[in-house]
Amino acid sequence: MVANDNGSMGLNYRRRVIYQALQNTFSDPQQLRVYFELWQREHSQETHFVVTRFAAAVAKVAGLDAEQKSLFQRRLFQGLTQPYESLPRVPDAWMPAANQTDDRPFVAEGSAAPAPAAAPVAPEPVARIDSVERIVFKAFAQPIAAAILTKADRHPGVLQQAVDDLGASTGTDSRTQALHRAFKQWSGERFASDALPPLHAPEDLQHLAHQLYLLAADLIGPMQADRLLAQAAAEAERLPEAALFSPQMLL
Amino acid sequence: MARWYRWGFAIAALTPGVAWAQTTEQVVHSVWIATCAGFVLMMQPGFALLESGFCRAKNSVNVIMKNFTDCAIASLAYWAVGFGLMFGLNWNGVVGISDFFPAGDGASLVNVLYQTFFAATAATIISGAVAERIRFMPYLVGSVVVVCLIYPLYGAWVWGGTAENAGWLRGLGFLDTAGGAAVHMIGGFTALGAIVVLGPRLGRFSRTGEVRDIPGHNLPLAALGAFLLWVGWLGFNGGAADPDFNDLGVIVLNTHLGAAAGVLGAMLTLAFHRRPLLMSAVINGALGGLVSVTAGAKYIDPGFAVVAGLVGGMIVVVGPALLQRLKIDDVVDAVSVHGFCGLWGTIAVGLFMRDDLFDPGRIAVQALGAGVAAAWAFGIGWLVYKALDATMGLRASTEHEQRGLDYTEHYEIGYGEFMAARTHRDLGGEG
Repeated sequence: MVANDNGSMGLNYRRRVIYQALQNTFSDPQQLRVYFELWQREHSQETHFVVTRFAAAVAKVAGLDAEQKSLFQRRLFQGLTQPYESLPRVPDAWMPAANQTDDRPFVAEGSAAPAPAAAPVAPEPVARIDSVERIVFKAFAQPIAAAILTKADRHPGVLQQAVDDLGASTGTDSRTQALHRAFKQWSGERFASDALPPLHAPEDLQHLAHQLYLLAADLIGPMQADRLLAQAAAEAERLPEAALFSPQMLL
Repeated sequence: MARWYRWGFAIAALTPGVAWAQTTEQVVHSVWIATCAGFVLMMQPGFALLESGFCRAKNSVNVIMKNFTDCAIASLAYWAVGFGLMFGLNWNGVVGISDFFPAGDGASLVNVLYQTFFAATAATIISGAVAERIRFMPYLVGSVVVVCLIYPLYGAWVWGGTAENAGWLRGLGFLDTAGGAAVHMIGGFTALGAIVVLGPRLGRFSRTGEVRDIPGHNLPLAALGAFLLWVGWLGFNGGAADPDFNDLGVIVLNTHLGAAAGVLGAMLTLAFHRRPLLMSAVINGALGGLVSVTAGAKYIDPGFAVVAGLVGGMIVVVGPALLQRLKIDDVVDAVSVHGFCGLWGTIAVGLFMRDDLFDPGRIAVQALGAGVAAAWAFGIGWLVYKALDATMGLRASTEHEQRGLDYTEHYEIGYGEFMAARTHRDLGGEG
């Protein structure tokens, strides 16, 4: 999807569209900035303003499901229908050094200014917000969980048994027990990203990562588990969020 | 020969404490024992490289640290306590009760040094078997117990006392040239006790009973370690030569032939089982052959050393499979190499004794000595490590096993360029 294929849309206008869509989707300012900078870095120099590509990138790193991704995309398109003045101003501190403010009057680089809003868009629920730690953890856990499930699906019941055995060898303190219950519940949901227990503390997520490793070592083998762990960390390291929360912290 | 003796005098003159009043034969023997002690010390880096190479990269520093430190700590402990228990005035053929903190004349101290490295060898054998999941401090305490209790007591039974007041096994006519039973069986079966207490590494055995390979991170390093051990073994066994050196030739030749035959035995067994010629098994074959001739190096003819080594090479292929069926995880196959081959080699002395082949009485004595070594080392070893587990906690946590003991025990990693793990430097430590 190309919003304006003649390349005439001004950079500041694009920034405001992106900023508004992100603002309506993510309430955490830190997270908002991470994704805004992702656009600045990866997408702002594109000849065409391809919002679908950016929506896909955000959906991937934030772990948005199809519905949330579609909603985010609609917000981007909605922004494209608004006049420059009606879009929220991007904070000065977020602007690149060469362009410290976006309050200069908008001058369309092409022949036409953006069309006015065609129709009001009904307010929609804000997508569930994930902390940076959870975003990194989800990306980290995904390949390990997939390998575990692939193996477990060939031997029905083995996953349940392995998780129960993990519980038996887990520490008896209440925190560890609670974490194991959360892990067990998550395994029952086949480690779906959406079903990740509401844990945010790095040490709790690290505990879950360790439980995943133990499961992988048990069901797939220790060498594969080591390899998976290293690969998962390397993959997650590519996320923009990894600058704020390194997946190494999960190891 | 005359020139060799002159060199002996020259070196002896530079060796503090070697009294000129000694006979030429004594001086040369002292120099030879000091040289052999150096060879035996060289076995320590051999063990370190072998064991480290057979481990995963994330545990490579930990394994070398264990070898390095147990050589030091075990040496101090053995000098202070172990030597006296083993070679002190023998009480009822059971235990030495003198010569603690030995500081006698130069000639006898050379023997203390040589024996100290024997003790360190017995201790370090355990290191490889328990690798990748044992905590560092309990391991060191275990090493001290080995050189202050398990090894010297058995040693006192085999080598302790005098002809008139000998250790009880020695009194029965039990023969062990250089520790096939006293060092290798003791080390190997103590290791068995330790790994039974410790349990296997994470994921080593699947739920369906399948054995998962956990290959070493650097097999060339392991092979280099095995070569060092092979060279060092010439001094390990060669130091047992009588002062007149009449038996030195047969000892060192048997030692080398045993290693060579062990390689052949391992390769033949692998081929018989239609398995690839695994380098890891072949280098263990050499070590199995060396262990198999250690007890009999002085007492059997070279032809039988070949037979002993050949069987030793076979044992190191078959032995690990037996342990794996019992779900016992021995990282470097130390139990098979040192324990099982030591057992075979000790009995082989009875079978192949020069001028006394297949003497049932001798075979029975050798079998008794080997059985006692196995039972003593395994039994006491199991108890010691069980006690350490109950008091200090023997097993590293699963988190530590995941991260690797290099980082969790020592805050250093062996291959920084290739591993993403954090180190103390990342955590604001020195460096």
